[in-house]
Amino acid sequence: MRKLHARLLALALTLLVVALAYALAFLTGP
Amino acid sequence: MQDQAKRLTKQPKRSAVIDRPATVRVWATALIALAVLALALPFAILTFGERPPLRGGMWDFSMGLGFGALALAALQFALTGRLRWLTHPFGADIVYYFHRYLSWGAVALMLAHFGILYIWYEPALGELNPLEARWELTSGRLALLCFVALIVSSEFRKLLRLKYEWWRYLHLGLAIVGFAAAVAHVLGVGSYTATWDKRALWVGVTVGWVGLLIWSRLGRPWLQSRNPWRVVRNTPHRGGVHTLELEPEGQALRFWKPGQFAWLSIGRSPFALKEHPFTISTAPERGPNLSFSIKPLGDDTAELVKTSVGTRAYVDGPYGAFSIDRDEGAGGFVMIAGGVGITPIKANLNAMQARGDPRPVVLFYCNSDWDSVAFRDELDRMKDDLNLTVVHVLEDPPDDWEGESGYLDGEILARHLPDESRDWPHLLCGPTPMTEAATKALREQGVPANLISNEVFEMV
Repeated sequence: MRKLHARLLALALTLLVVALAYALAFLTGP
Repeated sequence: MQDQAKRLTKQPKRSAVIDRPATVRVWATALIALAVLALALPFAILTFGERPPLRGGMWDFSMGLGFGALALAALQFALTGRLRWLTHPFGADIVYYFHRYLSWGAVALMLAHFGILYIWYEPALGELNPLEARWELTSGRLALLCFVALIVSSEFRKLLRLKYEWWRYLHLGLAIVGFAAAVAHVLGVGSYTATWDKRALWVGVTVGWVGLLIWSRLGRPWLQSRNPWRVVRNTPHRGGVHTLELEPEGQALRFWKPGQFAWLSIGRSPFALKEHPFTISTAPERGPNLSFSIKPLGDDTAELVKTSVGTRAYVDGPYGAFSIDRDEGAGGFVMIAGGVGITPIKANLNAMQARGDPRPVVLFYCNSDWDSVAFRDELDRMKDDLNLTVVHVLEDPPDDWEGESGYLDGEILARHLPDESRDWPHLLCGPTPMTEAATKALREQGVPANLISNEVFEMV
């Protein structure tokens, strides 16, 4: 269970960075 | 003796408060929120600060991935810095496990950063030859190589026949060179770091990172060097396990819980990066001497079990969350151990014995054969003081064996566990295939996932 949580949290934080990068590139203007 | 008695560690009230499930939950949530903020900070500064002219969606997406990957990489130094305030709610073992998977994420993003530029903007990458290429781009490539090498050398350490201690030197070296090269790459490229706030961010991250490194590799070892311990007993047990007893020459260890571990450096300088994590088998009420049970599984541990009395040692701890103290209200415990995984389980039982804890415990103890069952006599004797049932499970039992044999499965568990045990905490420690099979079987029998704790002790 702890292992699963650790993996899910690692995945969630990685996807958060992808989402932020996407927002930076495509959703926000200068 | 009087001096020792003064140093005797008592269970302070403070430790009970910080172990309460509600405190642990709030603490863990706050740390996760902090991590989210740390990852969002570079993007906030990029978005709200002065931005360089846009070059197109995919270019900016690639830059965002690069910055995010570096923020993830910076986070790794905090995760592996053995910071007690950071590891406490989760347990240091799982923080290392998390570090492993988050590193995969960071390297995947770095590869994506490079891959997007390679596919859509290849001319911008210029020459590959480091003698002709722009230095800041070579620096970026060097960082990428270091981070990929970090992952490969960690995931395949045993296949590569890399000794643990050499792997640690390599890991630290690659991490330092990789991160330094990545920061140099960001500052050298410069287009996103032209303004003071952006430069301040990366300089701040770098200063924090160097500070953490100085603390964990120099500051803490220096503190340890001023507080040495001495080996006063080396007791052999069945299965090749040895118990080393250490006496403090200076200050005793404080506030450890049953089942926690410490990093132990024996006969070597605390600066040498040669310490190993071992469970403290002494009950907190029985300090100040500490005992560590060690099985020679390879590399340094074969040497450690030969340690002679009088050898200097250094202790860094306590760490870990594999403790009965995390479940104060439990009506009983189910414990499952495989081989040397018995050590944190036995540490918890030692504490229950020292406290006269009357709660029932059912222990499943899996070993290859009867002669390799470490502490079997001691566990037998514990039954006199504890409400303890020990179920030995042997892979290769002797001919006259009447107990359980084969691998631990749902049928064996069901034969020995009372119905009410489904509501008890389940503490598991042993080889991964065993703990995974046991977890699956327990879940099938209706044990809630949050009642199953698994100590992770095999990392690389």
